[in-house]
Amino acid sequence: MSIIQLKGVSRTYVMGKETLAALDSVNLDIKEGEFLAIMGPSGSGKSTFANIIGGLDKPSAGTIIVDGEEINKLNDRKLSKYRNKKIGFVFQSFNLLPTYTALENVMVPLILSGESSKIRRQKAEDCLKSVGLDGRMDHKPNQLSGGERQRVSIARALVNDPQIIIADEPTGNLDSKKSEEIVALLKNMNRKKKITLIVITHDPNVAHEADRVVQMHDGKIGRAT
Amino acid sequence: MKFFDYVALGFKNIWRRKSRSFLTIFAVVIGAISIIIMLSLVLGAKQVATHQLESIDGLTLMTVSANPEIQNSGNLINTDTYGDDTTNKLNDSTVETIKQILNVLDATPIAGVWVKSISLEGSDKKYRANIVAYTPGTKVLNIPVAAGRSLVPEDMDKIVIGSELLRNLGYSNNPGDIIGKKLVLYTQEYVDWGADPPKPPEGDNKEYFDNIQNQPHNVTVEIVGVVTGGVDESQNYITMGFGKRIMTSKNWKYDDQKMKQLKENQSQLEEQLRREQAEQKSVYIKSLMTIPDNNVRNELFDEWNKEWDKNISEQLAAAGFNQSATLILDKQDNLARNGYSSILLRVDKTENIESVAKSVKQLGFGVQTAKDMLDQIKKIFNLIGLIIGAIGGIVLFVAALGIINNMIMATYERTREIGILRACGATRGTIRNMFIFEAGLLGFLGGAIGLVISFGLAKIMNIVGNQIAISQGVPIQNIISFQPWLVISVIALTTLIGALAGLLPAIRASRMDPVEALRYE
Repeated sequence: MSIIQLKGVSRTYVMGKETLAALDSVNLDIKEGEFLAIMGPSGSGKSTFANIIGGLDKPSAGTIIVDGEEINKLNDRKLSKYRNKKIGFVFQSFNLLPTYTALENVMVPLILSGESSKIRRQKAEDCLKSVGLDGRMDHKPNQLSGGERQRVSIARALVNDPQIIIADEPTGNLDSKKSEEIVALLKNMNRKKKITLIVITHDPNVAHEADRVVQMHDGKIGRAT
Repeated sequence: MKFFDYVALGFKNIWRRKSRSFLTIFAVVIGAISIIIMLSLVLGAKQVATHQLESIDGLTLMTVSANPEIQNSGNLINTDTYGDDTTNKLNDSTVETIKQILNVLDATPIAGVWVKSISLEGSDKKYRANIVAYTPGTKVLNIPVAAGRSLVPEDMDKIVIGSELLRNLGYSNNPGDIIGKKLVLYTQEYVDWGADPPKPPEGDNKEYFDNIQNQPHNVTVEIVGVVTGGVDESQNYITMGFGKRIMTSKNWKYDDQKMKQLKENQSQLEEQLRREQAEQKSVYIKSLMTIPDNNVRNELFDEWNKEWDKNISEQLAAAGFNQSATLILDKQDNLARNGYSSILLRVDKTENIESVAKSVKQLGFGVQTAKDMLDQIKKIFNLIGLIIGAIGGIVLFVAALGIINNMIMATYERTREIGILRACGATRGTIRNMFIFEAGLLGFLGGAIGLVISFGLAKIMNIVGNQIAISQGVPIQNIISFQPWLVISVIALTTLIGALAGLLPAIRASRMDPVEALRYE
């Protein structure tokens, strides 16, 4: 069952007189519960692809259907809700709020969705436990190692029970051992909770763990010819 | 996001940038304090003015003056205005007419009594004093006393003094001790109370009339009461009966009528005597014919004439023509000549004030109601309040600029954070509200802190103000009053200003592209 369907999706930028196509008529189907890796050189449009599926960016043309919903037609409020509930982002540079503790960071999506404070605390604690950060909940990001920070990110991405996790170069700032742990963690979530996992990566070791690898170049699916 | 979360987030973010937030809030605090304190002063002063009128139950009082042009003199007990030759004077019949007007409860004439100076018996120190004569015992004016008693209509040489004179004489702290003491009123001339002036001497009396100005004239009165606040503190009160007496001057005068009469009597008498003489002459001359010697006859005739002349002079002298006989003690009633200063009347109900004022105006007099005066005072205070409010508003405007600056800086600093929040599912509205709340919170805190400081300041100012008031003998307590509505309004105002100041930066932040925001270093 395809949970994500992209049909003729393009994303173009206009810079003065030039038009740049970050994505060029992309067609892709992603199955529910699939672990998909997306590889390609810099500027191939991988991040744009991830942002568009995640609802952080809107396509200039084409349709994206996620779980039966045409997300390219959603207004800001509905799209934000989509991001909040159905998507979990994991970034290369972690993107945690520096003045908040790990626990508070994980609670952010729940605060945004108006969850009561007791419930959100409980859920956040559970998520942090599930990524193995029991004893680190009250630490701020600058008191955590890179690996720990990424775990907090993952916990945050998981806290609202999303259907899809989008990880953009999640191991880019980690050493090989930590990278392994993170990928293992993500794959675990994918298998156990049946969360569709889309990982953008340079690292072939990471891609190796995926169910399917898709290559991108110049905004198009497929290898460069 | 829940309301409480916005507020908690706002506090957290304000606390994050303590120094910057402190400075911004400080500006709002200054604006808030200036508005609160100064507006409270104006309100307090208004209250004091109203209270003063209410203490003499002044709202139904109305002052009638002879001159219809004179509208507002700032004092209900008006001793200034006299009718001039073109307007009608206020006299007793006028008072009766006024009393007859529908809805007028009662009326009393008011007269300003002029004396050169005043001093406490036994002391040389002289003071100026403003003396007002009125008719006590009417339903019009009940002057409240702090010590002693009020005047009653029969009182003659009695006086009730105001707090200004009390202070000058040094009895502010113990008004009760001045009751029963005597005051000496120095008048310009002899008045219809106390001794008569001495009679001028016979003959050359130029020196007498020159010096009469320099002779001491005074009237002694007894202090029976001391006034509390509520009326003009410079006024001192006597009864109208007594006032009339001391406004009536007494002088010896050579009466022209009498003089003319006397002279006429004299010439009549002389005429009569001369006629007699003439009649006798012919008889005598006949009797002289028996004497042969001409010289002897002439001598005898001359002697006879001399005898008659002497006789006539003696008789004329005996008839008593001298200047003293023409002296009369002339009394000049100055009060009747000038008319009363004003008439003070009381209306039975406040609803009838308008109609009574109209009736009085129709009679051709000037009218000033207590309500008019109060309205005037209120207008003045309102104007002052407006100006002060405007100044405070300017200060707050400048503080708002600080908030705008603060928020603009915040949105730049937190660009990445905005991107993260958007990625986690924040709508544009959420981002916008976050910053508006924070800005509003800055305003709110400024207003609240300003309020707390204002309370403290007001307490100090009231304590100081009360000390000053007591030392001056002025019965004003707590000039600064804090109305609840003022408190709420100011905080609401500062919060609103803060929120408005944050509006544009917040909208700008909400429109940031999430992808670019996440890339921001």
